Amino acid sequence: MHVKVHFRFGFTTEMHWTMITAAEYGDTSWELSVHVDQKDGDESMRFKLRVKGDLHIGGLMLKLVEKIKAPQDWSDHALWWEQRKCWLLKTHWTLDKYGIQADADLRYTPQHKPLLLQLPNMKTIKMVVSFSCVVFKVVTDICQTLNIRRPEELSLLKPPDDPSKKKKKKDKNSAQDIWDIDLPGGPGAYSKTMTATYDPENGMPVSATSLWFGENPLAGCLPNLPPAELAKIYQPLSLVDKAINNAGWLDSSRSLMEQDIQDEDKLLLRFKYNVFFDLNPKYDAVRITQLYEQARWSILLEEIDCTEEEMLMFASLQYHICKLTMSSEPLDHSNEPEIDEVEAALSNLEVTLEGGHTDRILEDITDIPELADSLRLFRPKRLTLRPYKEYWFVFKDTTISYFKNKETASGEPIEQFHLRGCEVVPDVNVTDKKFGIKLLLPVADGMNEVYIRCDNETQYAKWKAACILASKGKTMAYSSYKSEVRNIQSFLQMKSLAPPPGQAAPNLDSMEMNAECFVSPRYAKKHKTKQLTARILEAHQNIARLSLMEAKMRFIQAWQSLPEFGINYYIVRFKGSKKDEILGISYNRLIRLDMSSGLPVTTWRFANMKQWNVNWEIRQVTIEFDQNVTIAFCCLSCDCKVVHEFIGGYIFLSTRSKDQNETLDDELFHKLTGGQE
Amino acid sequence: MDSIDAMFSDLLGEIDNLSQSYIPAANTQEGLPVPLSESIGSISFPDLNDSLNKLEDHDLDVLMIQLQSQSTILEMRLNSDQQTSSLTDNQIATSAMTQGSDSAAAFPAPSNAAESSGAVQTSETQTKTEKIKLALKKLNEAKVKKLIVKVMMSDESSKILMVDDRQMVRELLDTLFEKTHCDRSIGWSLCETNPELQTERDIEDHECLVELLSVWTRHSENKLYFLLRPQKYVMFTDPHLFYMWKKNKKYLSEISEEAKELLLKENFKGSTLIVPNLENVLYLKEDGKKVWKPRYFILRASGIYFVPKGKTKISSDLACFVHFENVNIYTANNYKQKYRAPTNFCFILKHPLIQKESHYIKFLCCENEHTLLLWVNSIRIAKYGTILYESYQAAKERAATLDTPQLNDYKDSPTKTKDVEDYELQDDFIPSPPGHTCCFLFFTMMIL
Repeated sequence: MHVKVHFRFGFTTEMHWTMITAAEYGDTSWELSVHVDQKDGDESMRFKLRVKGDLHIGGLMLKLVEKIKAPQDWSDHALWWEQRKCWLLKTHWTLDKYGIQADADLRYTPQHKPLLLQLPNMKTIKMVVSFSCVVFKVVTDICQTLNIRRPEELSLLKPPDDPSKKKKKKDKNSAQDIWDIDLPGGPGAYSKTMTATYDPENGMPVSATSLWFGENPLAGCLPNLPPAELAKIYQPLSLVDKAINNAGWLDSSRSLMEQDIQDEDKLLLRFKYNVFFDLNPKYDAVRITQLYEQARWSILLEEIDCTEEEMLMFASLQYHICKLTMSSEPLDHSNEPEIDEVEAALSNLEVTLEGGHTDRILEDITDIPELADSLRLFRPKRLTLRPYKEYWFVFKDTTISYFKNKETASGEPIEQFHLRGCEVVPDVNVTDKKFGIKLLLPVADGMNEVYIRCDNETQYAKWKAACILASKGKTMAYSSYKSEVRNIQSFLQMKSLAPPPGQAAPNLDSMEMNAECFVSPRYAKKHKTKQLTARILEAHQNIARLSLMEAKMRFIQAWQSLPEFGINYYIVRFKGSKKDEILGISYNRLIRLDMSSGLPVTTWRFANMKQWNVNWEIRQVTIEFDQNVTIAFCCLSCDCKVVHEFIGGYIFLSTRSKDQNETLDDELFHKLTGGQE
Repeated sequence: MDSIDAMFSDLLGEIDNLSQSYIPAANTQEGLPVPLSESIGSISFPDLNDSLNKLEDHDLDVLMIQLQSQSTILEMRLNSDQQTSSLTDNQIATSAMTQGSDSAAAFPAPSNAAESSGAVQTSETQTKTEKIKLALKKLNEAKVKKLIVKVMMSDESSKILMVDDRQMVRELLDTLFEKTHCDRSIGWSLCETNPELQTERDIEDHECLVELLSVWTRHSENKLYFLLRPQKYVMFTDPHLFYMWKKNKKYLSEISEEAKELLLKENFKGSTLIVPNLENVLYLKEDGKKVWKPRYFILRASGIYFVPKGKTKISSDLACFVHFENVNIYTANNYKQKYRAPTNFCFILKHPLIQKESHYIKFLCCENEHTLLLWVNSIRIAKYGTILYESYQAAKERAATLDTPQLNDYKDSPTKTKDVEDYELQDDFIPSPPGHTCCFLFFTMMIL
């Protein structure tokens, strides 16, 4: 008989195999065609086997391997039924039980295949994953490999088919950007060999990821994209766009193959459910970083709306995180500042005691640095028309005094400002060489507004840092003074701004960092760079002392407290309604929104839900709430399974508790989210 | 003079309570509810001498006598310690009244002083570190500010308290509980009033009273009250009022305890605190003008915003009205008369240091009392965040555990001590999965 061998690139050869007569098998036998994928994936073959209906799958595979004759490890291969789109994994089932007949087109193919996985930080990695396990399990395995706890919060999203983006794919420049994660021990072995272990000191995973990456880039943040690049990705999103982008969540209870995912397809790994249980900087280095990245991108691409002030706050946090990540000597503010101070005083005191000058202890300890300089002053209230005037300024303790000139500094000052509790606002324009500090000094009957103008960056950094500390009641003796000065200086040296001559901006230079890359392109367009820098600078002083992890957590929390946070939008048609509407699903409620205005019409809380059911034939979701409220809708922008899984998933997540052990109750998850079969 | 005597006997009681620490100079001038603070070491208080001079001689004499014995002992003790002798001298020189730094930890009692100084001489190496620690401790103690405070009761009687700047209001409430034998319900609170601005504010349990009082002006008419405020923690006892404010009254009045508990869990126990998404029209008093103009205000975690004219409610259009970092919220009394406000349900936002009318104060007016309740407490949630919830839990715990019957002479209502903590879902409640046909969820029990 003739057996056709198909090669992937289209040509076919015919080969002669041993002839098997039908008589050997009796009348009940029939011919089954099986297509074999080689492990390398570069060629495939087709075999025809004579089988009977009572042959079980295990036997079929044995037969097949014998026939292929190629010495190879076939252990990862399994049979896939093309027409039915299902795996034949139950090896003890017979062909009859599966309902396989001569017309079936079977494929003998590896269960593990490479997948291009875009992480929340927009980096793409190539990873070999199971195409035969349900997606829920696949995500759990991926997360274990990447060291992300609580995998039930993540899932895989199929990017929408965008014709405009297909062209971009062809230029293939993204190919170099892909990190190839080749798993030691071959496919299938990793879930057993990889157990997450954490460095006890910094909570970084030590074995798994660092094994492949050296220093674990997943726990570190990537630098922000240059504004031009960012603008290319950015596009304004309507609710409908958001609905389309969100339609592609894969079905957790089916495998990748069953959902038409091919090897080397690109999928997005994202935090899907917007409740993040027990985020712990100790164990969650990667999880927090990836969550921060997802949050950051959603802000930059305006997938979630925020106000200008919030945008600036997010920008300043990004700048801060970027800087801490990139700088070769990480600024560590994580130490308790109070302890710092005491310790500094302690060592100071120790030296003094050893020197034996016990009578001078007090002076030494209370020796607080002072600043004295010639600066210009402007008081809008008093002298509205008078310009800035030069005085001799002395900064001592938390008080600024000014004198007519240096010579009179020993006498009574003209005026004193007590900075405790005051607001310090930068009044800076680097390109114009304007380095001003605006002080808002609260007094019993209002605020005193004071403008102080410095001559240059260095002077500004010193005085501004002192003002910030003094506003919090701290003096320049405080341990963070120096780093505060450095912070201000490096901020002023962002790339878009002219670095001072002779003083090259440190390693930040390589980052292509400027103010515009920290805000959404729409926002960057609206404001001038100068303005933007000044305002980010202003927002930055509130957070300048956060450690890297604190800053990421702050970002995540601020993101979570945005009013529109955590809502996934879908286009639906409510029963009895004639127009398309938007359904928003959040962790605790469903929201019906008007499509044109985007305004909420009704809100139903999950807490009041009595039951929900899905009619899979007409793909309609019906939900019954307390007080006899029932709603029913069909999903237009996605499969109703997506919505069903969201509801069930959120209920599943609400069952988690801290004293539960860490094992994942996937059975319950499938109970709540499955149900189609 | 009776009242002064009473105050002094109170003061003495305080001294006993704090017998291990020094008593700083104090001003107990009648009519000035919060007597003057004093400070030691590097922190100078310019008003000190002034106010001391205003004390009647008689008052001073009495106070001096009361403090005399204590200070002599302490002086001796301090002088015996080489490292800090200069410090002590300094302090004594700074004011007319004797004072000193607390040496409690180093010398638990006078009799121990000799022993410890004896020990000092025996082992050289060990003592050096000890000396350092001791000196540092003294330095830190030297910075501790203390105040003698008069707290008014609702019946206009008063109690005298001594507070130092390490104490939180919560601790002072405990002291007041003991002094007044009141029930310890969660609603008791310290309230500051400002007669000039006609405002009042319930001081939060986690705040530091000394810091707060030191910004009052010298001749301030401000007073401190110890009052029962049943709605102090209304955002936790009735979270649905804030998180479901759009729902109608009937719906809200029928809400179950389980639903409330769920709201608490969602908004306060999650990975981040959720601020109520309050929005409605408030009247704003324009800077320096007499007119109150209606504007549409929106509360967000990052501050209060308003919708500018001709703009929509979408986030990027909103204009920022105020951030919470530098302002406190105060409720105002009778602004209809004082500022011709549309209603008497007004609140202001101002820097705590501002004590008089100024255009730096934001004046806002609500349509009705309920709206005022919503805004004031939602702003508290936005400003203080989880710490407020912690204070609430601490207050609840205290109400439950310290509820000793012999103290409750005139306890009027039993305090609510529902145990609502950590009510977790049990497996039994997990519903059957949604199947091909139908699935039923007993949802009220589900998400607890």
